[in-house]
Amino acid sequence: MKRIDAHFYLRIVVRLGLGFLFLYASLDKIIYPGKFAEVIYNYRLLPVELLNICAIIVPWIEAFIGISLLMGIWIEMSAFMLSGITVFFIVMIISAIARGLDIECGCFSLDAEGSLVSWKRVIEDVFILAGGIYLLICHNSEKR
Amino acid sequence: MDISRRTISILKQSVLAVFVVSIFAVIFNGLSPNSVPLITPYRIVTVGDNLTKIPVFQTRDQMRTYEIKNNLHPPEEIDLETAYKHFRNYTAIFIDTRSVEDYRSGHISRAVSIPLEALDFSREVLPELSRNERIIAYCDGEDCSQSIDLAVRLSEIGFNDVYFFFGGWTEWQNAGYPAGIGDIP
Repeated sequence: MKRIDAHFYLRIVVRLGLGFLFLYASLDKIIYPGKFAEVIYNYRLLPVELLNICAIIVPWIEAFIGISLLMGIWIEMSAFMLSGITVFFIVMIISAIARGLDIECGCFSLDAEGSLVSWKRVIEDVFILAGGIYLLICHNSEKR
Repeated sequence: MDISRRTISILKQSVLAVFVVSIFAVIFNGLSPNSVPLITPYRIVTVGDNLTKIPVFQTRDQMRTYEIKNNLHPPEEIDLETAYKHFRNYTAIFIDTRSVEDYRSGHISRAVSIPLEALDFSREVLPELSRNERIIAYCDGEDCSQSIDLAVRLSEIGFNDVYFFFGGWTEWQNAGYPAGIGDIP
């Protein structure tokens, strides 16, 4: 009984924490899509023509994940999307580090100061991914 | 329900959600004061035999307000603040006239590397650029003159909105303005 309670509270903390984080991370990017497009450009992974459309859509996907986790609706789908998008972010950051790019991460805000791509960012994203997978597993085991 | 069916079901829901969110995002972008074009506009710059696409990250408002003007004048010096204003508003192309090695180790963000010696003035120079495009050439700072040389040469062959930023990379770096490292793809 105690174990179930611990999981119950941990799940709420993880869900609300990740929800807040994703909603917060999306705000700057939604307001300034041009700046975010420039951040994506610096990763040198996408064709130039697609930079703006990615900068328009990706922040809204983050916001959608954040809002649904905060509100406690579509949790399984949101956790799945969160895990998928976080894997994508991890790959992008590692690829930038591997190519020696000293660029703004664009992870949580568009402020260049102190947010350059680094292994610290990768570790943060791995924790976020772990949170997303935890929510998915909890939700599935609850349904069985 | 087994795990694989469940995963496919979540995947389908996620794709649908991404589709709906994308439509909403595009509509929101259309209504936002900081709206940007869906397809990123870009300029093509030719250096030697290579074509380089330089994206223009202007908002729709900036594109309307800062149209490139047809001002006919010989190259002029431009100061740091004016150069930065043009940088911020995407109203000029910055050309780094230093060596490729210097460019790689640090340059004005979004600048194109065109060392003076790389341009072949016996052929058409920068054919993809309009002769009315605003160009700001720079080099290391007050100890170098390639920026002036390039500005003058471009002016001579018909570019009519050319400037040289004499303070160059040194002054830009000291001011802490946006910088880039490495090659432009």
